[in-house]
Amino acid sequence: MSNVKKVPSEHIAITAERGGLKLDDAKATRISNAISPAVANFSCPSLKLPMPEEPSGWAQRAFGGVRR
Amino acid sequence: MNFQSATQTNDPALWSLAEAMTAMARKRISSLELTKACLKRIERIAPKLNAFLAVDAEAALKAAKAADRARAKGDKRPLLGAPLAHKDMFARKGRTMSRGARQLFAPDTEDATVIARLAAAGALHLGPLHMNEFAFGPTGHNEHDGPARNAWDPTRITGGSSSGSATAVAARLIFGALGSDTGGSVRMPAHFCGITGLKTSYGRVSRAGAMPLSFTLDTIGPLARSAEDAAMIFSVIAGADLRDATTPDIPVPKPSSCKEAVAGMTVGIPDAYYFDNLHPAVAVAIDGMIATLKKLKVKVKPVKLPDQVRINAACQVVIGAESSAIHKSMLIESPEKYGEQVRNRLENGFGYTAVEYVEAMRFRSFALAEHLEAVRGYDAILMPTCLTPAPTIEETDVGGGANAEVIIQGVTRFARVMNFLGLPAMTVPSGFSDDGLPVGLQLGGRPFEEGKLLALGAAVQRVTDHHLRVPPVD
Repeated sequence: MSNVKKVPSEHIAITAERGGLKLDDAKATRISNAISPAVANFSCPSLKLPMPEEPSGWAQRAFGGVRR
Repeated sequence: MNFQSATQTNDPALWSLAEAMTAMARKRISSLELTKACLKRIERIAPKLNAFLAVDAEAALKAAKAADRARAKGDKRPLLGAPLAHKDMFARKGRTMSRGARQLFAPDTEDATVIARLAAAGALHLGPLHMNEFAFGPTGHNEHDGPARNAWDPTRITGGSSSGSATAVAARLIFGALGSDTGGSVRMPAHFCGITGLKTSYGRVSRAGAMPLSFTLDTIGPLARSAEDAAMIFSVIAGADLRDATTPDIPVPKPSSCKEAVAGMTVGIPDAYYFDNLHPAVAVAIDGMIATLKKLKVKVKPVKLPDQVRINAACQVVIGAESSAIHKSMLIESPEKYGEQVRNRLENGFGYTAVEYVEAMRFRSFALAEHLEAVRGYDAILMPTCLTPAPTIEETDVGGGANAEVIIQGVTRFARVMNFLGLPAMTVPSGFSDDGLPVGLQLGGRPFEEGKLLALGAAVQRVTDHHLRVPPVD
C-alpha cells in the first residue's frame, strides 16, 4: 500500500458529493485508502475505432464460442 | 445403487442428489421420507451452523407429499421431490427476501426465474439460507444475523457470500442449493466447506428476480455435493429467459455432460500469480489434482495468462461503482440499517469517477480477448480458489475496520478474474489440510463451456473421494 499513489481524499469527497453522498474527512480518507490500489493498478488501452468488441464485452462473452 | 460408504447407507440425507433421485425413481424411498430425513438433520445441526434463516418444514412436507403423489401418477420431472434450499436473495411470490439485510423491502409479486424453473422441475424449498448482507462479503460474516459456521469446524468461516448454501450442503442438510457469484461467492464457500460449486458464464443463468449486486458481474450457480449433482441443478436453471436480456439462446448442457470423456482434454496451469504464498495444503492439493488429471489422460501444460493484477483491479472498480449505484438511495436515506462493513464498502464506490468506471468496462473486451488468446488450445485452466483453508471467524471478523479491505482482497484474490471476464469456473473438492479442513481448486473454462468443467469435475470425483467425506458436525 505504501507505494500506491493515493487518490486525494478531497477529490473523493467532491466525487461522492456529486453522487449525493456527503463524506467527512475521516470517511474520505478511508475510501482513498480502500480504492487507491485498484485505481493505481488498472489502466485501459487507448480507444481505437472501429472497436473490435462491444465496450462491455457482453456480446463477446455471449457468443464466446465463436472466438477461439 | 452404488452407495459410496457404509455410513452413507444409514441415513438417506447423506446420499448425493443423484443417488436420491435414482432411489425415488426406483421407489426405494419417497420424497416425504427424504424430506423428513433432511428436516431431522436440520433440526439437530442447522442451529450450530447458523445455516437457515427460517425452516419451512410444514410447506416442505406438504410439497413432498404432493411430489410423491405426482410420481405415483408417472411424473418424471428431473428434480421431483428433491429437498433443496437457497440463500435468501431469490424472489418467491408473496415472500420478502431478507437479502441478509435490514433494509425494508416489499414482498415479491413473482418468483425469480431460477426459483420458478426449479419448482417446475419438481424441487422442494426447505427454507431461506444465511448469506452475507446483500451478498457483499467473502467470509460469511453478517452483522445482523451473526456469522455462518463451517460444518467442518464451527469456529471457522464458511466463506461468502453463499454462506448458508455452502455449509448446509456440506453438512448434508439439503441436497443442493443456489448461490450467486459476483466475485467468487459460489466458488469460495465451496472451497472452504468442501463441496462443488459452479460459477456459470455471464448470461448463462437468468438473474430475473434475483437480488443484484453488480449487474455486469452477477451470476447464479449451484452448490452441490458433487459435479454430477451440480449438473442436475445447472441443467434446470440455465438457458435463455425473456425476463433477462443478457441470456443468449445457447444450448444448455444436459446432466449427462458430466459423463463425457475427458481423456485428451488439455488443462493449463497458470504462473506465479496463483502460486505465490499458497498454504501448504493448497499446494499439495494442486499437485494431487495434476496427478489425478494425468491419470485420467488429461494433458497438463503451463499457460501464461495476461496480467491478473490489472484485471483484479479493474474488477474492483466495476463492482464498487455498480454496487454503489444500486444502493445509492438506501445509502443516503437509511445508512444506519447497513452493517458497518457493508456500508463502508458500498460507500467506497462513490469514490470512483465515471471515467474510471467506463475505462474498467471498456477494458473487459481487451482483457477477455487476451485471455482467450492465451488459453487457445486449452479446455480449462486449474487455479486455487483461495490461498488458505478456512480461517477462523474471529481472525476475519474485521467489521468495518481499517484492515477490512485488505482481508477481503486477500480472500478474493483468485476469484474475481473469472467474473470480470464472464467465464465459467467450478470449485472441486481437492484435499484436506492436516487439521481436517477442506481445500477446493477451481477449473476455469471458456465462455458457455460449463459442460467441460462438469465433465472434468465428475471424472476427478470418480477417482477421488474428497467430495464424499462428511463433516464431523452432528
